[in-house]
Amino acid sequence: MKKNIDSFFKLSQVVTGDNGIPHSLKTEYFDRINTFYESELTDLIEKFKSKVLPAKPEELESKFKSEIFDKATQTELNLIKQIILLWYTAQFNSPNAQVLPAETEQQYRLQRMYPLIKAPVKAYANHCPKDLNQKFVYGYWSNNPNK
Amino acid sequence: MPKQTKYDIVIIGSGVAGALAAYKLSVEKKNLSILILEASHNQYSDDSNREALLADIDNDLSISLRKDLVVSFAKSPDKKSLSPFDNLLSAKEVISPTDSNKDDKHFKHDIAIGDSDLFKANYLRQYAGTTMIWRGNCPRMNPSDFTMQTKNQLAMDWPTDVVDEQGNPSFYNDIEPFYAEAEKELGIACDADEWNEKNYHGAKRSTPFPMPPIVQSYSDNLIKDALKGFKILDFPEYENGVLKKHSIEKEIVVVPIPQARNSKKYSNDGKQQERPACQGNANCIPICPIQAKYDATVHLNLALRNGVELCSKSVVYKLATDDSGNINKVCFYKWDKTATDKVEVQVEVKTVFIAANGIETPRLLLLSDLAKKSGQVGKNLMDHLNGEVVGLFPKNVYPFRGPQSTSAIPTFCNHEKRKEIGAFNITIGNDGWGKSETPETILSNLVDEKKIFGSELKKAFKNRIQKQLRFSYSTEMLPQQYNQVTLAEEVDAFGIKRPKIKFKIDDYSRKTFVYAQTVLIRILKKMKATEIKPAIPTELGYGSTSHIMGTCRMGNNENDSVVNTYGQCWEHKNLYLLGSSVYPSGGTVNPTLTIAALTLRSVENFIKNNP
Repeated sequence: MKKNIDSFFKLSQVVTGDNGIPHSLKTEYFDRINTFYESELTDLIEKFKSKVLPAKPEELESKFKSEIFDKATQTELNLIKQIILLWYTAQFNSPNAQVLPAETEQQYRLQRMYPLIKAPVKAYANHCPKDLNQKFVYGYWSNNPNK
Repeated sequence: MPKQTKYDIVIIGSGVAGALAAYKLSVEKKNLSILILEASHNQYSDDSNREALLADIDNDLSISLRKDLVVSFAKSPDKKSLSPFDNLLSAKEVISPTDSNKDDKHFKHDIAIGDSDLFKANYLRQYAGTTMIWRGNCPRMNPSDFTMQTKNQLAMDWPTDVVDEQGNPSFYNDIEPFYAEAEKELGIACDADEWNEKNYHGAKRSTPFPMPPIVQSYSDNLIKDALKGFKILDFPEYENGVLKKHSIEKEIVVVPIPQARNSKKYSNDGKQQERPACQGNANCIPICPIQAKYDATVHLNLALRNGVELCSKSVVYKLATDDSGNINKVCFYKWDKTATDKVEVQVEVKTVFIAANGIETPRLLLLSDLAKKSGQVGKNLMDHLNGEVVGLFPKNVYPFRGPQSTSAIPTFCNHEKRKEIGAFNITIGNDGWGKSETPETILSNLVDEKKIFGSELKKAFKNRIQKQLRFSYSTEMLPQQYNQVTLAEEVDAFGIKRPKIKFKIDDYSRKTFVYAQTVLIRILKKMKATEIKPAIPTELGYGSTSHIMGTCRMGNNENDSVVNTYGQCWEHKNLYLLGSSVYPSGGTVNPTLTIAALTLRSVENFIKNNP
């Protein structure tokens, strides 16, 4: 199980393109996805482990594209999308399209979508992830966040 | 339960009008017994927290309760305006605001196919009212909004004895000191030099704003630069085939919005409840996590500390009168866990202030069979139809940072063709494409349609969202007799007849809705924006600002209006109506500041008449 969680985390880094996804949530997020997509997730992780993971770190994405993504079935594509949505927004959709929101405040607060665009997670400007490297104080919104 | 059986004053509703009236009365008339009846409740009004909150001068408990609401929002699936209140006992049965586009909640639509439109407004029936989920924008109405009949032969003028320098009736001059007082009470941040007579259609100010403006966003400053000197020229007039002038020739001005949001630490009374400056949580709706944005809990706390009594979970269903027509009893259902455990309660009263909204106020009058003479109760229902025009700016604008909007374009809040096409207000969004395309939708589309993932997805996501610009517009509606609130046969959870809405958007509003889009499309083109939507102006897709107005209009006589200029009911002298239900016309801007100013004015009149 532990091995699959680590592989799930690696897979998540590849599909999100984001090495900043929080390590602390990998088990919770594996469980969340696994609850609804168990067999599909097991298959995807096995494929990932055998066909992609052996590649060099800088080649993981291209390997994933050629070996899995470009050949993916609709079911696999949907699962990949749900994994992306989960890390980006802390919520994803069940197979019957029910929205499954963040289970904890921490999950919501650590979503990656807003930090990627240099914005605070809504309602949590004063509790932002450290890697955002921003201080959200009065008036920050008038500045170019890259300067 | 109420502590007494008799009160000098009962205030029905604890939104901004009820809260402000209670506070003002508690300061000016210290000996009066005052009871607020609130249909619903929330964490702030629960008996278990109430006493502790009143003793909590440092606001620690208040902050902790707010935190509960924020967590409820964070864990909700749809992140709607009601998400912070999902866990309240009363969420379904009592708060029961309408859900946009649906007809299965509180009020019923009277729809005859082909002859009606959906009334899409929403409101919150709970402690502190809709200020629990509002954006906080607080412009004044401009002088022309009050004289639509005189200037344009439309609607009715707002009744007043005050005149301007030319000797013409001027409701603006009448209400101006109360606007100033309301700005102080709510804590409005803005720049008086920007909202001057020239930029805002003759609106003189007697005072500066209590706080400097909220800093404009990075995108607002880019827009300002891109639109410098840009003019809209419309409605050409020719003489002998030669262009003489344009009826509308307007230079676009981008100014900070007056907003009830702190640009620095602020306390309305200079002593208690100092609230912090905005931290840019980008979440004004549904909930500011630090209360940098005003909500009516501010004045409710002050009023209750002054001895005003609150009875929440109290749904008023009838006002009874004595032989002279004065209100002498307020009848309500007190509930605890659900509507089914209600008990009937009555209190005797000397004066009643109804501080509900444009739907609940006429509903109560109709339920009580009151104020019938003019035949105007329930009629002239108005909203500001709302839409958005979006585009991609040539550079990154970095949205989702700061308040959800920090600037407005008030240029079209009045114009020269208002007799034919309504005025409209423009707000610049600071939240990507708003309803037109959410960040979640972008992500899904990029995976589903572009078939990308990983670093390519991340780059495409950032590239799109960071250029998104949104302008929203809210348009003027005229009061029409056929836009009406009546009583439905269906009853609510308490067995009280629900309000029924008949609503039709007239040609004036439709033309205004389309004209606003033509202006905004040109503005976006001027900025070299791409992917402008809608690309072609359309009548379709109107939304609501939830600015519910009209239905109990004020006027000069009892034959064509429900209340006098002070909101006092013509037929029931001890009944005052507070809130936007008394508006004779709607203008274009967010109504809260005007509601607050009218409330202060009504209370002053009451105090004058009851020394």
